[in-house]
Amino acid sequence: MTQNRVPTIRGVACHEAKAMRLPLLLPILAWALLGDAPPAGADTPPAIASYALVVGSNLPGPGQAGLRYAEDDARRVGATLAEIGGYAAGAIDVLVRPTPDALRQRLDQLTRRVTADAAAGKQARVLFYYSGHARSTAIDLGPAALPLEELRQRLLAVPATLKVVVLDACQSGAFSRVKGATPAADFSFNSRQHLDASGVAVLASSSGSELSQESELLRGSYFTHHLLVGLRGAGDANRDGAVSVDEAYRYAYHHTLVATAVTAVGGQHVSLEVELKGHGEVPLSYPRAATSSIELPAQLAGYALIQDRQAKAVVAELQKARGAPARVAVAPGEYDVLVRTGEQVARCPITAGPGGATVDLGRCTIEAVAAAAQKGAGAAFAPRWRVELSGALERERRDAYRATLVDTFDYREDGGLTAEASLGVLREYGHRGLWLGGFAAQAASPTYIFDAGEQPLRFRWQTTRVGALAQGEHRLGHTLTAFARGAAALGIGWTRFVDQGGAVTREVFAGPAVELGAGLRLENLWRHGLGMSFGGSFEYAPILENELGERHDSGGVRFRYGLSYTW
Amino acid sequence: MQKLSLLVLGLAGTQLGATDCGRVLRDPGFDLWCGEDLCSWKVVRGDVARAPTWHASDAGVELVGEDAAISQLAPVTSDDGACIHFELVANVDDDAEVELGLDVHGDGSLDRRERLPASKWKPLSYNLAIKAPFDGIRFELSKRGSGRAVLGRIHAEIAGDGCGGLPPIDGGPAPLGGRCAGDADCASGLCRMDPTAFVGVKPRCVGCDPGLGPAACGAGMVCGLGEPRSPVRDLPIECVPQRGDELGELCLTSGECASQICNFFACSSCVNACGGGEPCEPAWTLGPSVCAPGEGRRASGEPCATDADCASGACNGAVRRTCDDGRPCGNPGDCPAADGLTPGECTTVGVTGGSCQ
Repeated sequence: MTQNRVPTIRGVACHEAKAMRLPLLLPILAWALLGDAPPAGADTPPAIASYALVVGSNLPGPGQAGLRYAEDDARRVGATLAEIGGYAAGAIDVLVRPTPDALRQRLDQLTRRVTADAAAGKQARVLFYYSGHARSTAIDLGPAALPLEELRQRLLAVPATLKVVVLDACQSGAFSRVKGATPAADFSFNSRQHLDASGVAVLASSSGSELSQESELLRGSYFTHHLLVGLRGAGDANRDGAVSVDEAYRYAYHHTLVATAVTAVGGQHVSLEVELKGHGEVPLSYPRAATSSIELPAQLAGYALIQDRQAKAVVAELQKARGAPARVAVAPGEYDVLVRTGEQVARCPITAGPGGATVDLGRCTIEAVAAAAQKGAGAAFAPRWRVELSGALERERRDAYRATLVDTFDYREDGGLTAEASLGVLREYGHRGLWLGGFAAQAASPTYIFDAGEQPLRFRWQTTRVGALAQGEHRLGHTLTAFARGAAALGIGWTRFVDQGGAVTREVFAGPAVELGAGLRLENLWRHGLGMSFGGSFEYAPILENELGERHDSGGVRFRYGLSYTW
Repeated sequence: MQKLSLLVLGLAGTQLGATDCGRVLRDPGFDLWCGEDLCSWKVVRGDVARAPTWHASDAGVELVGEDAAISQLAPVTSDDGACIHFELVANVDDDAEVELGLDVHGDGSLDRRERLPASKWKPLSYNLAIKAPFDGIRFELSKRGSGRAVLGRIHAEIAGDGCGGLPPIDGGPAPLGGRCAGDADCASGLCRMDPTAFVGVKPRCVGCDPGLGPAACGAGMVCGLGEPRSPVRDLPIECVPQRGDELGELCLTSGECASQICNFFACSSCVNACGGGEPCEPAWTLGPSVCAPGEGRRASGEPCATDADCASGACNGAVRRTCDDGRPCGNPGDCPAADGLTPGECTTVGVTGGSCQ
């Protein structure tokens, strides 16, 4: 008997959004295959075989922009499942940026493992998670795609008793439509020895026509973030120590919708479709079994946010009501718990060790809301920062100054190239790709030598530019960004002249310097945040002046190469 | 034999041209200053002063006054080449008349004058063809008028070609010691092989024919080595007073020496051996042969070349300073360029006409 326990939400316009990347994120594709019942109680992990295949890909499909956090979301899901999902070591397969063939191989591998368990008389439950781009007919894995119909068939072919599919992708609700699932029957678990429910549950981040969205503040998608917060305990409505599919869905649905309602794209509706048989709830996590947790005491009330102090990432956020404690499973570490009540925010540092920790209200400091928001607790936009080191080699610009030096007074260039190094720090402003910051650049000319006979005359200079930098960026793909930049600076030049007797004469000059340039940046090459840029620039820096009144533009056309780190 | 070789090589060396990788002028940037005077340029008239060019420390030279001139004798010869590329960078006012003069052979007469136009640090260049043969060219830069003239660079180098079609500058007949191809090339009308150099050298202009012996000159004179006229030319062969050279002076024949002994081209006190088994050897390289030089055996009144020859430790006579090729000198500027364009050393070696105290 099947029954629609949770209403399916379809056809609702997708949420919020980052205006700049429209096909944006594809939220969760959650397809749960329900297998056996939990073995020893709802708050302890089941003894049945549990497998998870967690997939994330930032790569865009044709006409799509790259995602930033889909792969990170997959890693977080994998980590959370390992921590509180009741999975044995080696049972969670996190697959980042796969090709369709690679994903097919992992699905086949999963099928073989579950088939072997079944042959041994062991029930199995399987969770499949996907975060990345998708369309109504396929999930996009970069330039290639895997049809949703094929994905559905392959997942159905896994002989697990219970399958849960979580899809965090645009129009992920279409998976159910493709699947053609009918409303699921009511189900519940009442056996601790085997799974009483069987079938499929699909948890999707958005409806079949909606967009799914990422958040710069959360550094992940809205849906996966709230789903994980729910799984960590915030979604445990009946406080039985386990978070069921139903509880996770309700928590993710509510918080995702609220969070995305104020975005430009609009509200994002999480959907759940089930095709289950049996009875009993299907737990997705067991926060009570976590090695560490943070408990908010009964007397605490307000909007609570738990932030990893080192990673500066929001781990959980929940509306805490007075009267009953709330517990959130976390990894051991240092956290800040911020609780907002009215115009005040209580910041409570806490160390979550083995066995968990309870927020000590006596250790909390009270801050104004604005101050707390500046620290990232409530800001709507978390600007990124970038430090960039670049270098250039160039030939000195031929102007009257240099012509006098080389052509008239017969100095020759030793080496011939000017080397420049530049260090810049930029801050992102808004979502329009505008970066502003400052920079300092140092350039050293080749040595100019006049072979006067016994001892040559030697002359060289260095210039330093310190100023402001503005840069506009446009993302061309997942890792490729085009940029244009302009800078204005104060330039200081030092010259050094050594005569035939070895006497050194130094002079200092100052002048304006401007720069216009453009180029491409490859981002997230070796690790997240690391990038490499290359491009060209034209610099005008008339800093040096000779006795004849000629100024040297120590700029010119330069080809630049740089390394950057963005955080 | 070794001594003879040294002498021959030393004298022959003066017949080779001297350039610095083709460049023929020293201190092309007017950067070498010895106090308030240029080290490598000679002030002919008026005065000079240091003046900034494109950089305050890359100084040029300003010709100061209504009439000022500087010159430098370049040790270039026709063996180096007969086409010279000349460049000058200067700041010349309109009311300053600046000329570049060329004195082929460096005999004091300017054979070509080129008026330099007014310019503001613009390079000027010329190609100059010089009629061969020649030894040395004196470059003279002069200014007349009240205008300002600052010279920043002067550059002259041998040009392989570039003088095609240019009428060669004829320096006229060569003075004594200059190279020649025939009698007509010489002011003296005599072009003869230089008896001081036997191998691989060209004939020189001479004042007398040493091959004629006593008949070459008049009564009381002999055909011998005269005093040097120029560091870029060989020692002149001319009629010199008979027995007029003191011990230690260069000679061609014994008739020039007061001692009547000319050994290895230096007036000496012995030839092959001395009494008592003492050796007869040169007192210094290309110097006079004396008995037991440097052994302090000479008694008072006996001829000597250095103080070390005398038992008293003192050899009275005129101080003898010579260049590497043995010619007498007063300063390095009198010596042929030794390496590139750098003048050779002028070293005190002993005394001439010496006798022990």
